[in-house]
Amino acid sequence: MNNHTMVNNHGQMFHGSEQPRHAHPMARATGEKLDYLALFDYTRTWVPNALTLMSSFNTSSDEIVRWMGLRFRVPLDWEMVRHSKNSEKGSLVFVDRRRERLEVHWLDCQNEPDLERMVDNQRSLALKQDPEARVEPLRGLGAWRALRITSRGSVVSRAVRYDAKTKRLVEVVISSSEAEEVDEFFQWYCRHFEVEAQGSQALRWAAFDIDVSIPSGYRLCVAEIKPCDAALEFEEVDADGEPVLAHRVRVRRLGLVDSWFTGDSKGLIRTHAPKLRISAFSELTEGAHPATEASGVYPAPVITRLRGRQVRTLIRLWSCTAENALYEVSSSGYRRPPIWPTDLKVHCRPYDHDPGPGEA
Amino acid sequence: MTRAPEKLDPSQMLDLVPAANHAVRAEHRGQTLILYVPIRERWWMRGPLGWLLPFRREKGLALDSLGREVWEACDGQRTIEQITEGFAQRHRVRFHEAKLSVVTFLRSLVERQVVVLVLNQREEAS
Repeated sequence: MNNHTMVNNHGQMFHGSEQPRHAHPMARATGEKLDYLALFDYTRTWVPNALTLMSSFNTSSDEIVRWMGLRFRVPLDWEMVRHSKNSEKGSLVFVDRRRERLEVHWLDCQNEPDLERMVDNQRSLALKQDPEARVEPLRGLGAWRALRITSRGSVVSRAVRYDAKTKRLVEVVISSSEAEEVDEFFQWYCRHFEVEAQGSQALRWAAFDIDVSIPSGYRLCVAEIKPCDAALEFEEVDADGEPVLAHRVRVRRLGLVDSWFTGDSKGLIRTHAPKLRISAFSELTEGAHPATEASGVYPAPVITRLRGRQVRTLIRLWSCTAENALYEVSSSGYRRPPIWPTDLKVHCRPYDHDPGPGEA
Repeated sequence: MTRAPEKLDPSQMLDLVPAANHAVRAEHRGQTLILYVPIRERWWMRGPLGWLLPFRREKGLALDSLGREVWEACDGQRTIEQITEGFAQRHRVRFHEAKLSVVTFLRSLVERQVVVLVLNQREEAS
């Protein structure tokens, strides 16, 4: 199976009028470059052992994920292995320690689709694929329309919901085996799922241990995810979605700091931005942490400079001992002097708890 | 005749138990741990050629503090999952980040014949 496609063995869910029936609607949305943290192919079927049964759906320790205006909770040892940067339609895939567990799909829909018909279509499709499959509706999930499909020893719980405020259709799919008790977890998951905003208007992002609030008018343009080195980059766009003065904000989080960081912040900034002509360093405070800020310009030909297209950058760097992590946040663009967006804030977890829906 | 190694299901990877090669000699030099792996002696290394040329009898492998930590956890008792979990907790990284680092490191140790990976009492070639 090609790891770079989103088509899986769960079949289709969205049957909107504009969507062809032969292809998973999210497959095209995720045709872009995707990042992987997984070393092995998690899509292989695997029957969990007792240890995994305990850990996979354990909600005692969980974390909040915010992506494209969606906000939900997942167990702490679940990891996002595929993500989409498309705000109109896309998907996220999570794995636990051993197998794929969760898919979240979103799609902008101007008109409310017929959810009951979608669920019926899904039921028909499941029975067509396996006539011996057991398909049961799941009740008591509020706005969600949900099904549980039991087929060949595996259980797929899927739910779909339309958020009229943001005009978004959302689908979640949780995979488990017949031996696992997933119903309680599924209810817990759906209860904690929120559609906060449209994908293009998402103001807070929390994934890969990065939790950041961005100013309005910015959109995610780059997500570079490597072990212990994750970076999310946002660009400022106008109402038509066109970039404004090439202004970008980049949040990078580096882990395992105690094993490699010597405390030389200025040296690290110089190493990470070797071409940047740094004009000044300054010391300031970022949240509860002392931070180092560097400002400078990238070299450019005379014509580019005369056109005002020389990139100016501010880089802030600080380490968070509680997280054993180092944050490197930069703001760059053509503006002179470079600006630091006032609404930009990186949240360190121990100091900035994000309560869930209905919690204090 | 050597038997072809059985194919390992990727989902079993976390259940493998890394065990150290008992022939490996460890030497501490400050923070660095150096492991010496014996090199198999060939027939031409013995005799007159061996008297004239100083052939290496073992090759060294230096580990940093993180590598040393993983090496010391390869006690033949703990699975990769347990080693990874301990590593992730100590260094406050995600399980999957730790897994990638630990597995990559263990793979390089296996390639250098410093450790073997054991599954169900059978030695599996990695």
